[in-house]
Amino acid sequence: MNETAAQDSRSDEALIAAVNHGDTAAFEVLYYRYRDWVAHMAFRFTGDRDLALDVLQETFLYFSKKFPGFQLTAKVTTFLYPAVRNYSITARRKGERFVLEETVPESAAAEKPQDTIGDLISALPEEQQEVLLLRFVDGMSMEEIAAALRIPAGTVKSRLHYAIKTLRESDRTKKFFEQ
Amino acid sequence: MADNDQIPEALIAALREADKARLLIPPELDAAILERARANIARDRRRITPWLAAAAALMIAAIVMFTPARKAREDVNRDGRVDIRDALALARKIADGKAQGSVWDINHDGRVDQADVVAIAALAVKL
Amino acid sequence: MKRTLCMLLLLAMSLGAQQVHFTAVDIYVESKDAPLAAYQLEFVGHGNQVRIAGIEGGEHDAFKTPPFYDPKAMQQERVILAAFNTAQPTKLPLGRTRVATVHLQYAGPQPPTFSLKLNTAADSEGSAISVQTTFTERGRYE
Repeated sequence: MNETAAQDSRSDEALIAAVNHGDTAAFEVLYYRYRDWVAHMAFRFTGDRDLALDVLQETFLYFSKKFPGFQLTAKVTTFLYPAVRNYSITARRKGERFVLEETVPESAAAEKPQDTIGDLISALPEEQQEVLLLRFVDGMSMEEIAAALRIPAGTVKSRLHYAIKTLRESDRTKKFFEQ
Repeated sequence: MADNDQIPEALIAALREADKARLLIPPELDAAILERARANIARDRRRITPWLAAAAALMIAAIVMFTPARKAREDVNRDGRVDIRDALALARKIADGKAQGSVWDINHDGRVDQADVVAIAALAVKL
Repeated sequence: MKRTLCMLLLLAMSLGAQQVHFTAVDIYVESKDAPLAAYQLEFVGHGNQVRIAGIEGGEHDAFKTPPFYDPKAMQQERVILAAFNTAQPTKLPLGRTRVATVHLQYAGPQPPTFSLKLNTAADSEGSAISVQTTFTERGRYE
């Protein structure tokens, strides 16, 4: 992370107010503060480094166009999450368009042995994968996940329940629950 | 055994390891993104309108029922309603130096200034 | 049988309701030849779990910063927006201008509808002026 940005202790609200007044250095602080999170999310969605970096760029350019006149009504990550997700889905579809003949059929993908935990996670339905990682890798609360995904907390809980059930029952991960 | 919403710490660590994306972001990309972002922000940025317009960024509230005395105070343009035109009217009086007197001190802080303008605007938009 | 059908219907509805979508609505004021110095209007979203998620300012410098609104409007379906500018008439918008954008979320497959009601508008003298207000849904995004 940029050193100056790392030392800036202003809150997100203060930084946004500053950017609304034309302070581009404040935007830079926001960029470095959330860059790795956005890139990581994008990579999680796209599975491709180049696509993830494209999504990183698009997300922050989308963010920059909100100023002046932007009002933060939730966490920055909650605001950015749908954008990262959408750009990632679009990027993935564009990528798939050019490799159609090489695309592994879905059934084949599902049958692929789940050698690693990563494979197991990838085999979960996307919506379960998403809440599982947001909850346990990103440390978000159920309420934060609900806000980011714009779904009821009950739905988050339900998806998480089924994801954990899969982990409990999988040969690869059930040993963790038996300890 | 963990309850249904929790998983063991060791598994969390394993998930984090599996999710770890070794994504190196080139500094040139950072620079390119920030340059374009700055251009977006600067392009859309114009001279800020007078300080009273800056006060319009504050979050304020409420449509209220006024007592006759209150109504007289906030109804700056004396049209029988309190709305954004009253805020504009007071703002113009302040800008023209014609807002002396406690009658315009809406928030009772001993001054007639943008805070009083904003207080009227808040009343105008209250749900 | 009837009970089962009712339960299935409720389940289907709740599953549909779990799909959350977003949309943005641009709000315009047309003041023709009169420079627009102030406006106040009421905007309502109608539909399943429609909630206001954010409010942006408009396109002209005079109304770039977000308008006044009641913070309680966030996560509700109704909001009153108002803004003014004391700049000289030459620095105020004429004709049709986008004064604000409202971002909303809603649930289920049925998109919301919207209504807009003008409360008042004024020129730089503070005199009420006749304007037209319209809105355009900018586009849905997930």
